Amino acid sequence: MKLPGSDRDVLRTKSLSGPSPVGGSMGGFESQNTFPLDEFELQAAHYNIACAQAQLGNLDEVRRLIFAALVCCVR
Amino acid sequence: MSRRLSFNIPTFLASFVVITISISSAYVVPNRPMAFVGLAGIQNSVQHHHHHHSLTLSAATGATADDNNNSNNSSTSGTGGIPQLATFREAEVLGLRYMQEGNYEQALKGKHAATASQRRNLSFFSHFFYTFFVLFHLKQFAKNSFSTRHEIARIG
Repeated sequence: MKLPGSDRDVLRTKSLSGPSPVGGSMGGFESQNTFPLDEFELQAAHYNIACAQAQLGNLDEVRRLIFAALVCCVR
Repeated sequence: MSRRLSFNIPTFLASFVVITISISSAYVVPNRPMAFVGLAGIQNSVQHHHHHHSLTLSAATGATADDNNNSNNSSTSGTGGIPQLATFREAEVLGLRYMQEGNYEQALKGKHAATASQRRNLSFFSHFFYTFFVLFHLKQFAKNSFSTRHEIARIG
């Protein structure tokens, strides 16, 4: 689940330490576009993995993944 | 004529909240110039994204590595003939295809990687504790303010 998903976000990291050179309270930031997974992709991924684990007979893992899929849509 | 200490508690509380939120890292200034992502940046990122998508689409839609060895439209990793996947959707389609074929171990490959949901939950909890941090200081400040007010009333 490290691959980019459908969601889009901007990751801002502080590039300068200390006060801003142009005034203000903080230094500059670097913006980087990221593509994380959205809620439905996370839910589908956990559900699909749970299906595969159920076929392999790992029931404890299935319970954990089904709960994780439910939590994805509740949050 | 006695001079009284005029201390507007609601105004001070409001300014405290605004200053605290504005200097925190959880607050994103809406029109900050260095954080602004212009239209050109968005277009470049989308084109970059679609470029990767078109490169490996054939790999995700069921074409094997042997079918595409002669063309440049698909690239494979060195082990096992698994195509290099650029997006989550491609990996999902490939995993579902493996599951249809009954190859469940192959479909589950890489499932223990760090998920985006864990990173999001961490972010959620940091905001959660920061809210309590602000509320705690507001409570302390209100407590100190009211005690000072009662002392002034008692003395004067």
